[in-house]
Amino acid sequence: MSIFRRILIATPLFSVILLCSANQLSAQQPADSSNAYYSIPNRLLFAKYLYTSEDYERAATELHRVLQTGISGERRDSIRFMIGLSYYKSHRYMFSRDAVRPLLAQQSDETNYFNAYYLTALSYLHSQEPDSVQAMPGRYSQPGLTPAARYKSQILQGLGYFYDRKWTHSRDVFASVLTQIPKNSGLSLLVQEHLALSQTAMVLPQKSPVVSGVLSTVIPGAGRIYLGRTGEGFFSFLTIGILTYNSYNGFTEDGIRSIYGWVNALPALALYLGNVYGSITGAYIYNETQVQQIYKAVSIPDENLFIHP
Amino acid sequence: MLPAQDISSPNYIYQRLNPEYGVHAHTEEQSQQKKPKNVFTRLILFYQKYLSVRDMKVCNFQLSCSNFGKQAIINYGAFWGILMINDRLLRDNSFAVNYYPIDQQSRLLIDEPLKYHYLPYYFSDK
Repeated sequence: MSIFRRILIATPLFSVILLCSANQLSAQQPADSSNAYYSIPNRLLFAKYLYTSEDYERAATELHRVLQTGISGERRDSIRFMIGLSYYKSHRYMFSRDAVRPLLAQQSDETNYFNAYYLTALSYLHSQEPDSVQAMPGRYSQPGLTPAARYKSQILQGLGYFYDRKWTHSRDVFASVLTQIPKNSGLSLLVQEHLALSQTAMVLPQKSPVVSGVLSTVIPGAGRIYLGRTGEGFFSFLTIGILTYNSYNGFTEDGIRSIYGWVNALPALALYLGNVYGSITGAYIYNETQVQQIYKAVSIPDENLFIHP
Repeated sequence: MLPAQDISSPNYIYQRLNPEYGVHAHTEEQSQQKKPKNVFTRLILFYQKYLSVRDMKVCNFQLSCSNFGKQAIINYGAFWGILMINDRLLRDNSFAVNYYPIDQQSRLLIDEPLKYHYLPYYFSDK
């Protein structure tokens, strides 16, 4: 018998044996095991396990599955918040905001609402949209709130101003919060730090692009010296000066048709314009660098300072 | 504490000013894919292919002046690109060591055209 025929006979036999053994195995297991595995408490436990083992994205996915099962009420809101927090921890800030958005829209209970509010504000800060924090509708100005909820929301508004470079606004907010907040707490230190930085930022040394540009136009290199780049300024002055002097010599000797004159004049003109451009841009870069020094001194605060356990 | 956002990156600075523009092309290949070559970039390519290769590497910067110019023209157009090249040629001197961060691997100074976007942005359609 050829090998091909043997395989043809053997394949159905093997499949029949495999099917029988699979049936026997399934008969030995309890009948309701599949339901137990995928029950809501088990899924929540598994999601919690994933969250504690810092597998945040899979935790969010698992919580999404729980949400699909039709949980309602306050429990649904807290699961929504947990999904948002898991996405936040995995640095997927847009997903995080999307997850908790219903909590901000509907009249959920105070804890869930404020947790969602803080999470959204922190997500905006992390995804570099501080202006969106200021635009967030807040309950923090309404009467009847707990003091903690009020000042925490105000701190986040202040952080929004701080990262949007509205130093006066952020200073005012932090100064008013500092009077309400209990001293020596984590948030108090945070506010003090940001208040000091806002005050520092208000008096940062700034260079005017207009002054820099005008100086460079009048004396090449003077704009760079104004920006504190003395070496570059002298180099620019010498380079443009020598080329201009050479072109002047060429034109005075041979008139307008002097090749020597043009060979020096065109690079001199190009470098002169480039120097003016560089001086103006340099002023912007100088100012930006000063602001970045402020931001390097702090980082966006930990969410545990805001979110209720 | 969570890791701080990288606000010091040039992309962040640019996106703050013009979020619609998106991230700039950083590598040479990305820049070439972004827009078709014009006469100025062709001139730079000619320089790189036939003139620059005959000389040793003399530029102080990690993104050499010709590559800087090419990216500047591609990203900001010929007018601003040429101004940026002229500015860069003036900045490429021995004093530059004091004013720019050094790349530890290549020991060259780091300088990208993205840093000099302020005026093109100011005069562009906002």
